Amino acid sequence: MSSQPRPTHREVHFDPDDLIVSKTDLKGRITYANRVFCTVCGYSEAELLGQPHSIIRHPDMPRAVFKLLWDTIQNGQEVFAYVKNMARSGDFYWVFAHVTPSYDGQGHIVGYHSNRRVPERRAIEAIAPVYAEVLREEQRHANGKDALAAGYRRLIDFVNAQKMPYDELVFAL
Amino acid sequence: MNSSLLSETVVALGVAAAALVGAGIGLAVSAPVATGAAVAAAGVAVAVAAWRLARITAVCRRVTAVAERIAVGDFEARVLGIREGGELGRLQHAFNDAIDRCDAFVRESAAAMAAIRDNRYHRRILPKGLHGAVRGASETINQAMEVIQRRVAAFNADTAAFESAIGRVVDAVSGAAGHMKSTAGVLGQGATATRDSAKVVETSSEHASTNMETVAAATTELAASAREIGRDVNRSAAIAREAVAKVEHATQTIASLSSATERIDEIVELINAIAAQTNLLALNATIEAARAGEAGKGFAVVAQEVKSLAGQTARATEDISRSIVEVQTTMRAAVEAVTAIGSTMTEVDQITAHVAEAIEAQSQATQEIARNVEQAFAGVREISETIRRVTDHATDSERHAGLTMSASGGLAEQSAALGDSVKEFLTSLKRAPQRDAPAA
Repeated sequence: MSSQPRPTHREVHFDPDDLIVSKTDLKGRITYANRVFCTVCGYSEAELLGQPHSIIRHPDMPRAVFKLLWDTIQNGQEVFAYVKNMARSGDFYWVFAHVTPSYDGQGHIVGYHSNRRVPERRAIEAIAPVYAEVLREEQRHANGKDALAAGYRRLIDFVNAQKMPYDELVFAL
Repeated sequence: MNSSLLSETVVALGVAAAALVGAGIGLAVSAPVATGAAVAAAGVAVAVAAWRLARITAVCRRVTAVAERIAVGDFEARVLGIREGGELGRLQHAFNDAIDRCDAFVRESAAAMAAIRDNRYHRRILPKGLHGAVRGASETINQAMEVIQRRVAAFNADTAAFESAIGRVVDAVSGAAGHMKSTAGVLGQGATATRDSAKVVETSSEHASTNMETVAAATTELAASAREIGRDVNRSAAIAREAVAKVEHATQTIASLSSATERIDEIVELINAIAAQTNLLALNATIEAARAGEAGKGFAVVAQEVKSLAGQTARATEDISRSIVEVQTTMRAAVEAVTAIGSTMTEVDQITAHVAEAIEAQSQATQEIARNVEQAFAGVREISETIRRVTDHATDSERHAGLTMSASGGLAEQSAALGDSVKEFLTSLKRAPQRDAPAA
């Protein structure tokens, strides 16, 4: 954890019958990681708890995707996203993440919950070039804020060009 | 930590039991050292077993606490920090897995139902990672959503068709009402213009009627005076004819007077001849008397007397002749004058006849005019009546146009209201699920 792992180009897979499950608090710090999660990413539960979820973030992922994800769930809505994650070893694994807010009895958001499933291959093949394009757009800007804004615009342009809402588009890929 | 707490406890209890058995054997064979060792071993084994049991109890307490939270629907609860391996470790992980899958099912089905609540029908429960009854339930819910989606689509298609049909009807009705309104407006304006024009015609025809009456009266008077003139002219003609007859009579009288003067002339000639003969005789007598001398002196005086009588007679006949000539001259003048009067009278007679003819023609013309004026008058009266009827019809038309206009306005309003009601009804049909949803 102290040193960021170097990404390899090796992909690892998990059982399609399994779910990678994690929960975070409102700030995105991990409060629960299931056994499958620990196995796939290579971190123990103790190493994951209290850490930001970005611990498994892969450098190929544009920040705009996480902005879309956070904006949506902070608005109280569920969101689906194809995410490339990085294991402790530097290996990567694709997931189809479903992130939902968790509510208390009074309807307040108390945290977030993520179920990750094995994605459809063709969806990954469709989305990976888009992410690469968005990432390139982000890398054109030195300023982090500008980079995020530019990448987000590119991502939204892609969604709009498909002539369907994002939450339908993710299933159509 | 890979070894199982449970198996360790079982082993410790086994060791304790074996040690106790050993201690029993030691006691039976009176081997105090062996017995003591066995008792000590049993004590250690029991202590180990008790420690292990305490930890098992702690695990049970943790799992129970999580189970109790899950039981009240708190799916945030999980068993954290699982250090135990073996059966207890598997138990806790399996417990977490069970909760994870139930949590996933709850989140998936809630999200799918929320989507339906919000009129989004594409959302399905993702069956991946769900198993058994939970997966079966997910598939049932997905089938139900499929049906709902199809029904909503069919419902939307039906309502859209209905809406557009009603829209077309409303458009057609409001269009027709618009046409009707504008037509009624034109009709009303036409009727008003007709009524105004008819009023003008009515006034004009009344005026014409009055004028006609005046003309008719004047014509009647004209005819009467023409008849009067005719009578006067006829009287003048009769007088003129009478005058002509009298002139002819006078002419004849003068002619007979002329022949009488001619006979007087002859008689004067005869007297003149007698006077000349007498004078000659007197002269002869004088000569004889002179020859007779004294004896013829008396006779000479008588002869002288006879001579002067003959001279006087000759002079008197000369006077008569002159007078006769004067009379004849005057008579010729009289004849000429009478003849002139006669021809003038004849002319007068002819002129009078012409005048009488003219008067007759004028009288007939006047009667013709009077008849024409009477006919025109009748025509004007008919026009007046017709125009009054036209005015009545125009007033009726105006009233009906007004009624049609307000009716068309009402129709347009009603059709617009119908369109709005249908739109509202369809909107409320489509939105009904959302409205009935309780606040999240």
